[in-house]
Amino acid sequence: MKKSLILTHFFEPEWAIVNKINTIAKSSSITPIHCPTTEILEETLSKIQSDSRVLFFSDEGLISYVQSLCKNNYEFHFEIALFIDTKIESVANSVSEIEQVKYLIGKDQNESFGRDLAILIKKFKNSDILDLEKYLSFGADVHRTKIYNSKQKHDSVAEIFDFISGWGDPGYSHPYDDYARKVSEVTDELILNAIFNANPRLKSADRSLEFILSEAECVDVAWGFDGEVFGVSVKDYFGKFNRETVMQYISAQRHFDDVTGNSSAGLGLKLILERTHNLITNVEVERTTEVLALVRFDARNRKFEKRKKSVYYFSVNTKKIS
Amino acid sequence: MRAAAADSVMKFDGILDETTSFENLVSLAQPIEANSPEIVAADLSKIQRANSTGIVTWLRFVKQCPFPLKYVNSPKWLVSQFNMINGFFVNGSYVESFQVPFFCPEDESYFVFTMLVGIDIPILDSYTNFIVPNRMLNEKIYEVDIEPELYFSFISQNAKIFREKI
Repeated sequence: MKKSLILTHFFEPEWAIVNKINTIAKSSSITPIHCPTTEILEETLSKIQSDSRVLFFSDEGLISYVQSLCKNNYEFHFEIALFIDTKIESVANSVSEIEQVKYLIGKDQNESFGRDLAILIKKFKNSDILDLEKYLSFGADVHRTKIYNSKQKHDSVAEIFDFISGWGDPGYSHPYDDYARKVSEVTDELILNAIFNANPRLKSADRSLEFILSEAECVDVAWGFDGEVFGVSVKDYFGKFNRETVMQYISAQRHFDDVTGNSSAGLGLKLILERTHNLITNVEVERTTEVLALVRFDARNRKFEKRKKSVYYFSVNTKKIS
Repeated sequence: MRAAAADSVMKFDGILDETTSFENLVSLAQPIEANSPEIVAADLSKIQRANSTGIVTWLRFVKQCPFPLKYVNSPKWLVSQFNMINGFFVNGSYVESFQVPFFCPEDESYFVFTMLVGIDIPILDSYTNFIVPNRMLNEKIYEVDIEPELYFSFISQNAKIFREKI
């Protein structure tokens, strides 16, 4: 296995985050190196062997610097995670052309902050990227279904809606209907994307007509709740969803004319992000795309909406690990 | 999605998705158009949820609708679209009323109140520091459960249009 390294350098270092990364890296048998200055960072990078894999953590205060750093065309495999404090849409816009930036992590040290970092580092190290179960705590039941036609799409979204809305006591004013709506809208969008955007045969199909998918075109849906986080994943077997599309769709402003001018101008991905706390794309190039949405259910809608969002884009070339 | 039209009101229920037909929406508008209404109320409060394909179909309908629409009882998912899509209010459309979620800390219950633009929520150019008063229901105090600056941004961004209409 190629040697993995983790580097950190921040505009505004938060030692709690640096220490968290260090402990997780060490527990994963990866060497963490904190670089307090850009000079030390650049010297460290200049000594890294070409067959290494480097995950560099930084923050949005250094986007311009990161952009210039990436022009060095390092021979080793280089991925960048940025911690962000402002709106994810504007950061996604700034980094959309920096191909090494694959992870935008909301600086929200919530209950799962350490776990999310540990998953990122483990997936980076092992290149084993697929599956919702990585994000749900032990004990969560993961429900799985396959979609081959319009009815199955409708039924699977309805099943998720009923599953969540059923948690509230009838006659009692509870937020679960609202969460059921949010999660079923997210699921619907993910499935639409997998059926119509990923599949070249159906890209320009009339979506109002019933569809039938072959075995190679079928879409896998998985979902589960671990008591804290609700996760849903949708998988297609085309493996073509690229990082630039994710960042561009997240960052773009939607205008009436754009939306009505073509299929939806990325409205679906924006709608997903609006209702999600973590949006994770896993791509095995030319084989599989899996998009996961993780949602925390808070009693207060206000708390739900204040939570920082994170976007992760993992990709591996299954013939040659990239 | 199902729809019904009477006088100057169009009511919808079900799901606004890829099965929603643009042609059905147009045919629903035709008998109303015959009465040459000045404005027609669009009530989407019974729509359980929407996806992007359904929203695009709806927007295409609004663009070609022969009369202006005023949105009444606009549910939360629709408010989210008002806020997400710049220029949502074309062809003379605007919002008369919309739903706002509230929360009771005492028993963690949740309630949605319908508010009138220009009456319950004044038309402002910014909602920074705007405070929505608490509401009483069944002797319980409910606090607003949204960020006014974000949730009401469709009003501030379209303040000129709304002031002309309301």
